[in-house]
Amino acid sequence: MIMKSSSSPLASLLPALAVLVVLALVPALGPSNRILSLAISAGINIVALYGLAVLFGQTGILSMGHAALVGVGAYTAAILARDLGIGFWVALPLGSLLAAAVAAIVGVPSLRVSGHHFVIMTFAFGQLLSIVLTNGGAFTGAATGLDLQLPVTWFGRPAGDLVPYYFIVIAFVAISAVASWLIINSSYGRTLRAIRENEKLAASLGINVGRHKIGAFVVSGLFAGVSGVLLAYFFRHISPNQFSAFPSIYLALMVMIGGARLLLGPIAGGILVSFLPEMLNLDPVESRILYGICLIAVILLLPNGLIAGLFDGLRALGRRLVGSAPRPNVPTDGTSETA
Amino acid sequence: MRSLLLRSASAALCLAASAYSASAQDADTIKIGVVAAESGAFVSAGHTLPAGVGLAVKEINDAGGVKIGDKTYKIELLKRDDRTDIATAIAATQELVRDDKVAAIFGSESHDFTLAMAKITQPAKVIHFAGNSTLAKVLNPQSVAPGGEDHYLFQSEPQEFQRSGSTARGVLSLLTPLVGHPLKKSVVIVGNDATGQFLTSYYVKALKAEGQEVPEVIAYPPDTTDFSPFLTRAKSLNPDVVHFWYNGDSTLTALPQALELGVAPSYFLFGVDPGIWKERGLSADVPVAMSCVPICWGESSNANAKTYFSNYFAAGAPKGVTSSVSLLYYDYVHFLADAWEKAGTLDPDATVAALESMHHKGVVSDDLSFNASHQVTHATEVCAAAPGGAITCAMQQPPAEAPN
Amino acid sequence: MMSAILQIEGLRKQFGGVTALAGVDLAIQEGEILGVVGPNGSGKTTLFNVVTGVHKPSGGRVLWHGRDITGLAAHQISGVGIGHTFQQAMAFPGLPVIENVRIACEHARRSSRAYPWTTPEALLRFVGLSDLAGERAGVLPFGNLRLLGIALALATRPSLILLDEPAAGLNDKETLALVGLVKQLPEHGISVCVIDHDMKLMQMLCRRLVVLDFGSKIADGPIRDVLNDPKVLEVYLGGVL
Repeated sequence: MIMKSSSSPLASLLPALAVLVVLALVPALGPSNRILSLAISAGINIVALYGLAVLFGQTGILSMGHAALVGVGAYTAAILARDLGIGFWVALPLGSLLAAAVAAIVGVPSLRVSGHHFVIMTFAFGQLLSIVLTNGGAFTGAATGLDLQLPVTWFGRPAGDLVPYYFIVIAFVAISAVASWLIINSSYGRTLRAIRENEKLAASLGINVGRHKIGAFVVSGLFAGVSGVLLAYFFRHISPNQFSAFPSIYLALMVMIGGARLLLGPIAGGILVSFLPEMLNLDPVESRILYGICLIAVILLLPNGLIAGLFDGLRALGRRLVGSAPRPNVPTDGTSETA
Repeated sequence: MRSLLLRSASAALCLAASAYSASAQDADTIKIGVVAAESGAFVSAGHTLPAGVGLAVKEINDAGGVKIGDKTYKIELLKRDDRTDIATAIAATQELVRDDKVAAIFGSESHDFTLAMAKITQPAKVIHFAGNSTLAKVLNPQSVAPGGEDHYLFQSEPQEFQRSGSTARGVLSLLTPLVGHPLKKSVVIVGNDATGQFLTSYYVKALKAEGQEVPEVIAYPPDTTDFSPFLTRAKSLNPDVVHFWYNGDSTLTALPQALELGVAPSYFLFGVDPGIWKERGLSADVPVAMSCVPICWGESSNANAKTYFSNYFAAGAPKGVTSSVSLLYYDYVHFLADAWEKAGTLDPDATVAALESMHHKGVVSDDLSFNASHQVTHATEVCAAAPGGAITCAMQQPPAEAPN
Repeated sequence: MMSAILQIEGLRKQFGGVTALAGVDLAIQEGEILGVVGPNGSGKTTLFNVVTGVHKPSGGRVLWHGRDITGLAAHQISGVGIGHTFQQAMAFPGLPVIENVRIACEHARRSSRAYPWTTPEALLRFVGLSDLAGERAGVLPFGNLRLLGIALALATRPSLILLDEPAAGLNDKETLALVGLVKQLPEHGISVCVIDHDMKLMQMLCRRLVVLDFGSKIADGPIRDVLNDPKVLEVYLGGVL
């Protein structure tokens, strides 16, 4: 009676932590400020991607309005700073909670409408936010947007410069990764996966599907809100079109390419989309073609994303090198994320 | 694999960075940077910046360089493509300011990007020129005063009420004789984004100040390609002139559709040079006015313009819908060089003081100077193509004050 | 002394103009294995769906241990102690078998009495799927999927389990194994109600049979009597008797 040996949950966290340690060491290598700047942008996206991974990877709900939730966080930060003098560290939880609240509202229609129809609704919601912001007059800065003047400090010392801010962003990426890991390996994560896999069955086992779907939205909003505040304090100028259709599509793209179900997926997706055009010096049209190809390749060949495909490839390579017999029915996402 | 790529990329850039950090301002070179959309959605305006700035830099260097004190400096131009992406624009600016340590930056044409870039250039005391009239929202005597957050930021485009006023006057004065009867009603069609929203409010006021009735402003989503619903609505209002505002590519897509629907007896196209009208062999059965930003190529009433543009295109710049945008930067490179020479130093504060006090003879105007809010004043050229193809141009002076 | 744990009174269900249930009275006694049969269109599926919370009835009541549970939502039904399997043999396909059962266990209701299988491993042992614990449920052969479905339903600690066509698609050997499992359930304090149209299966499993036709009950009693009832024979004329 051979039980398939499954990896412990900690084993799934270690690769992500290792990568984060490597990323934290990047400033020590003396990269150019251009690279640091792009890395910070990537890190900000990655925080949002972890939220989208909970919604899409775990619960199976695809949202094409995730950038709008990031926008809620960003605008909250900018308006709080402008009107109430509230700075970075207090804006973080507030922006996060407000984005989560808005996310709950977006989630409600998902109880009635599912599949493709719902994806279109999330898309429409994203556009709706853009319209609200554009027509919000002086309060939201309308189409011109808002500027953020307050500095970021860490225990009294300025932390808004590139290197300190990079560490702040990496810290939040790490927190997001650990939070995701906790969710994935908890009974809550299992419940979300049950909903993803078979809603009717999940309900018959006592799972309140509707409440959990909204809960998943709220969780995704928490991550997105943090990302938005980080973004506002980095760009220092925000406007509605930074949070509309295309940015939402890009986020969905990043999470699909990187892999929505593995812990390294958001990191891979975020870095790839930020740096590949940079390294290959592609213009936006070429970049979009490349992403389109990547997405098609992922859908056809690596449905669990790039990272999962990479792991599978390495595993297959390892087995061939060690010379063991091929194992039947190797599960992919199931064992790699559970105890 | 990905971490390997990251490591090798970091290593490569480490080497590059060390090469850069050594230089700062090399002995006889002044570095300036251009950040513009050389690719992506804004490329039609974007590519004109490096072309215009590049032409000015070449002229300065060919004439010997910039003489400061008893040393002569050549200007080194660093071009950066922002790919119409804000994160890339910011990364490019960080690179220019911190790694390359430029003395001045020109760009970008995108309002959002300029404001984000200014957050980096201003604390670093890098002199920053941008041709966005939307900068008027942040530039005022307090913000540009010494110690103010935009002390080193200059708006190289006239204030919007001036541009709108000059344009409205030009459009109406050229179209009225061509249409043959007084023009009373105008409908404005505009792309609904930051710049569109901002510009329209001024233009409508300018039209009304010139006596026009403006029953409606019709806004379309920026990526529209089928304008028929908007055009039909416009037609139902019986306008004498339909004004297409902003983003020459959209405008040239909309015009044939409008002509087909016979929306109005005359049209105005914002930001389309007569040069492009001729290049593409465009024609219409009704008079069409077009404004340039700020002076026209292909046909112009400005004598300097002809020389400038022949040099500009001879240097290899492509003939674009808004090639004239290059002038929003070209004149200011020369202006800046003159300011350095007058100040006798590269010190940013002394340079700004010089810029604030000088009058510069440029292509767009014989008398360019910055007001108390770092803004310039000059006319905007408008041309009109008659149905037969003949093009006439005029530059109407802007109003002295904003209409209310 | 056997008492009714589930009492269905005058249950009606209307779908637009179609009457699926025309007032059905039915009781499930504690510790029994009850069979509910009927040809297609008899309303047995609708009855099943109403009791499990998929549909709200148009009239009538469902009483569970005397408590009115009419119209409860699907996820609340397992919480009161009623479990069920699905006709189509449902599982969480992308997840390993053991995780399937673990999820079900994590949502089990708290029951006051001792329950025989409280861990995923115990449940898999009971249905005989321990060897396949690490396999993805989606690749299981059909017969094993059915067993998994029973394990999932049992994981929620029901005192009544409803089985919808539990042997459909199984071969004879698999059917016998299934019958063996189900027959053990009352000994562990779990009453069973099997809904099917397979009379042979009913004869193996049930002592009491209810027959539905066109949304009404036409027979209810010991299985041998029901199978000799002329009304029932008429309905199943040329059928599976």
